[in-house]
Amino acid sequence: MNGRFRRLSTAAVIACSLLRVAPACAVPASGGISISDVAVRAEPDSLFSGERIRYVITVRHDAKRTIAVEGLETGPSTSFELAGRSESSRRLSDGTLELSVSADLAAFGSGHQRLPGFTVTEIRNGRSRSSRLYFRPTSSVVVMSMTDSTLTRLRPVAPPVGPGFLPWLLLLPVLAVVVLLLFAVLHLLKQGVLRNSPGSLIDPVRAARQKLKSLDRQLTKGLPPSEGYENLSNILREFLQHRYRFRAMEQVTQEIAEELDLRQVKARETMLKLLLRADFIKFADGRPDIDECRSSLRVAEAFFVGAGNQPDTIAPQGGEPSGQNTGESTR
Amino acid sequence: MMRQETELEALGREIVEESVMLERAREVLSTRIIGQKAVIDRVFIALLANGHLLLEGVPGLAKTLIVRTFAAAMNMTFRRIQFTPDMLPADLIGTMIYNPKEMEFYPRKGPVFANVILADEINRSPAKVQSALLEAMQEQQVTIGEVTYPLNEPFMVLATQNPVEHEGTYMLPEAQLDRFMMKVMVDYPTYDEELEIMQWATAAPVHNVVPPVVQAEEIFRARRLVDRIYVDQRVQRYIVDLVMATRYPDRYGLETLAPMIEYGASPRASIFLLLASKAHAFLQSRPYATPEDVKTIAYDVLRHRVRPSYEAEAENMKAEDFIRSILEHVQVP
Repeated sequence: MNGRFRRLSTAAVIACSLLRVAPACAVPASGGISISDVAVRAEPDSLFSGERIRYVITVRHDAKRTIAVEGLETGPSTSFELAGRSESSRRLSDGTLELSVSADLAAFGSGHQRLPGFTVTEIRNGRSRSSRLYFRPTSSVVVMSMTDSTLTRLRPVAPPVGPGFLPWLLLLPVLAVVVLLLFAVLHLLKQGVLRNSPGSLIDPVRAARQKLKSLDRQLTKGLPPSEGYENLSNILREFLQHRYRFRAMEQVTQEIAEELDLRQVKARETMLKLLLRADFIKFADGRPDIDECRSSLRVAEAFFVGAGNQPDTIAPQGGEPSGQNTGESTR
Repeated sequence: MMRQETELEALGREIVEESVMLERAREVLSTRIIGQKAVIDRVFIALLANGHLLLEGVPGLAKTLIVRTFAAAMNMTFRRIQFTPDMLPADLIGTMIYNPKEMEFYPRKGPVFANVILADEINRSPAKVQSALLEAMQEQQVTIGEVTYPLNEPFMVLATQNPVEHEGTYMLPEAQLDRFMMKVMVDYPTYDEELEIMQWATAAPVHNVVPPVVQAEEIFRARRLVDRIYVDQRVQRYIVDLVMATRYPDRYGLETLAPMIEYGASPRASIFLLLASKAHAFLQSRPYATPEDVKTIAYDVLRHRVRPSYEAEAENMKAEDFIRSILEHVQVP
């Protein structure tokens, strides 16, 4: 009996290979589905190791039964690795159904590799697992070893590299909003909304008065009045630079006089007297007494307060100095 | 008042007294020169500071008239030398002439032996003649044959250059330009001045004789007062800052100027800035110099000492642009 069965099986394998539609070789099981109901095919029939074949199993059955294909023999111990699987069913013209299972298998090893076996399970309506059939196809595919014939596992596929700039692109709108907010704050500062607030540090009048107080304290501690005048001259020029926005620190007194004229500063004469007196003390080695120096500090403070209250009459020209020189240079 | 102030006040009074002679000279000049106040001021500054001037301007701007009238009003001998390509040093300083009767050489002094020399179009003569004049300016003496003769005192050279005709000229080398205290640009008169010049020149005949109103001794006294004018350390440091800024602009926050300047001003610039500032203070009847004095004459002292680089020339930038930028950025004491 065994010898006869083996001969029949060999004949079936040869026939399947020739027809390329390989009927499954059934291993005896508990009946219900016949061999003729099951068919397999694989494409391509030859490939390099690691490439994939499409392995299609079709089972015909009547509509009263439910069929499932299970136990596909793939995995590390076999020559095939299951990469994907799909199933579909359709009704044939004679009223029967055809279940089609399509599996993507990666093939490994080298030489003829027999297609993997599987189990067809028949479930009758209202009952569970009434019969099972194991099928082992006799047909094979030829696997050509390209590199390593011992490779039996699916090659790991590197995950796709996403664009690195994408997160930064998403940040752009956020940054734009932040920049807009900063601009808005700066605009408010420029408009004086914050400048006029009591705690502001950028008010030139407030800053200049603080420096005058500091200078007064230094005079009390023994700073020579001549040096006091030099500091006073610097405080005056810094104030003019910040209050009227011209380069007073790099201008001589006559140039400053022209700038104040241009801006129609009310207490211009007061300021010029202070600057000229400071010039005389600085450049003519003048030696004032401390009372005179303190008196000048009070005059300067009054000027700062008055200048802080006076509105700008002429807009400064972009912060650039308008006058160059007072002498008749032959430029 | 403390002692120093008293000294300055006394000096101030002396300056006011001596300045009267300049007022007299100005008055005479104003009868013949219309406008050009800045140029006249620079001539006085050069006279008081014992310096020489290079005047640059197109023809017809009264350069020669200013110098001639100035010399006459100051009672100084005047020579005008027209520099030409065929000129020789002997034409300028003089030479030894052979006297066949006495069978010996005797010196014939050249036109350089005068108080005021107008070297007209100095760039038209070869370098040999230029260097002979400039050497005389520096040494205040010339050698003819084997004898050295001191030049007249006061001695002042006013050289002119034409800025538009460069063909056939010999540009003054920088080393020789450096010997001029100031380079003064003579500009066109204003509309009103031009009108006045035109009316004056076509009206009644002009009396040609300029009365001498200043004596040499007055000039020497004024020079001694200029020497005594007080210049504070702060002003001196400001002068050095300006000169250093022409050499190392990046140290003064002028990084953009660094590639534009081929080389900056020499130490002569610092010396002349100081002297000219004192002379300018004298003109203001002030016994001390201020940064205003320095700024006023800075363009004239520095413009021929700062050489623009090739890049600057390509950008059509001039020395005046650098000086303006430096004056705007260097902090005034």
